[in-house]
Amino acid sequence: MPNIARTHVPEAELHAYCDGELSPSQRVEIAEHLLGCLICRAQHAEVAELRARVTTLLAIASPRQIGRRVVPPARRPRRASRMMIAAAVAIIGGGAWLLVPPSDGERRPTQLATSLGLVDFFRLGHGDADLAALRDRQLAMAMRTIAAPQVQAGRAAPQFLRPLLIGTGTEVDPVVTSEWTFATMDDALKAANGRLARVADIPVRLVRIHPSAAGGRPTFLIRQELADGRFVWVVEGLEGDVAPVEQLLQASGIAMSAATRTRPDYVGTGAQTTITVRMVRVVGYLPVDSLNVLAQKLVVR
Amino acid sequence: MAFDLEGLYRTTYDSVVRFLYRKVWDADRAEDLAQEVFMRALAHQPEKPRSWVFAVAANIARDEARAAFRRRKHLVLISHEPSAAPAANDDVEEAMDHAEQEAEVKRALAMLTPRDREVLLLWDAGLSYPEIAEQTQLALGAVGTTLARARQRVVEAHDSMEGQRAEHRANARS
Repeated sequence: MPNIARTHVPEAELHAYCDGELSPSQRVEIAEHLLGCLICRAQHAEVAELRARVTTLLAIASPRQIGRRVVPPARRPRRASRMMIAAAVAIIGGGAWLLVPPSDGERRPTQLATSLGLVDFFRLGHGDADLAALRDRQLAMAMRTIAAPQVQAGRAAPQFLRPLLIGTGTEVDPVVTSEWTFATMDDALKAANGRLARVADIPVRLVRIHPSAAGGRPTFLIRQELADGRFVWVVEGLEGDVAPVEQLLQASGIAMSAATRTRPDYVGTGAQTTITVRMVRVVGYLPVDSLNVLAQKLVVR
Repeated sequence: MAFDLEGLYRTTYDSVVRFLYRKVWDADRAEDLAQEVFMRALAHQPEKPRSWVFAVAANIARDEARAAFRRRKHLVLISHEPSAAPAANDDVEEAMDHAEQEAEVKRALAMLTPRDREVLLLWDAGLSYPEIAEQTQLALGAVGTTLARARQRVVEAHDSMEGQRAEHRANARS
């Protein structure tokens, strides 16, 4: 049984979390905990920063250039002279005895050499000893050449705010059924008589519309993206229409801000006038406090 | 599984050089030793090439350090190799700046315990926790703790040096 009421995440575990060294289930457990725990979120941010700093420091302690002493591929020789063999031995130095015996390594050096366009070497009629020495030399050169000179500044610092997304769940709009249709923002505004609530200052990524059961104004689901890549949804609809949606949301475990009532809309004229009240909530995989703060930034436009 | 030297070389050569460099502090020597590591890998065709390569690199570096100690001779810090083109003034300044920064990191690393340092360097070389555990004989569960401590200490050590430097500067000015 998962330990729901776990205490704070130990620091070492946060390191392992940042390093991607936990099992998927452990990851999810910690991600969920981080969503709800301010203390651990702060700790997580500290660990992430520490980790990034260490990477930067270690990157300083690196050779400025790796692989600069690349030996250029040899020209195709007519035959192996004694000097060349001597040179080969000199180049490989103490490493020569470590090479694979010919029976085992017959193909590998050729592969290496082929990759460098040096295969001609092996087709020439050399004595076995010459060939072995030459092959060794080729191999030594090949090994130096294979890795193109490139300096990496250590591991790239991963995006730490993203792991808070649990799986792909947050990418999918909550409680969406086939009755929800996609709409452009313009269409949605038209359907909403130009008055549609959304959180100010963050971009709208997707709009969905659900027809009203009462035949009035449809219900809107607006997906907006926060600066850190997480999504929130603004649910807006007539009181009676949003109630079932809210029930579904509640059941799905997603958090909702306190409902905001908009000013009443007066539809029709005279005795035919009906007053409709729209309810707006901000929904997301975030602490309720955060959603309430976002709800205060709702604007109707 | 077929032993893929080429792939191993391509994916780990730079890491091995960096790993060795942080032990011998000489770029040329680090590359020489790395060459030897791969020569040995070719001869042994190890089953777990990645961890094997770093285990051998660590051994070679240890032998190297012992030999250097016996010779009572410190390894040359600055490469003798003349640069191909005469460096512009900016480059010289940049190089000095870099050398100074690097010396600080080196000292910060020296302040760690050998085990903490090893775990940190292996992690930076791209080894996974299980690979690090295997090589350092630590329990898998202890790798995270060790790494957490090593990270904390190396940054603290480095920060304290920075602080001292700032103090010196302030004293010099007053």
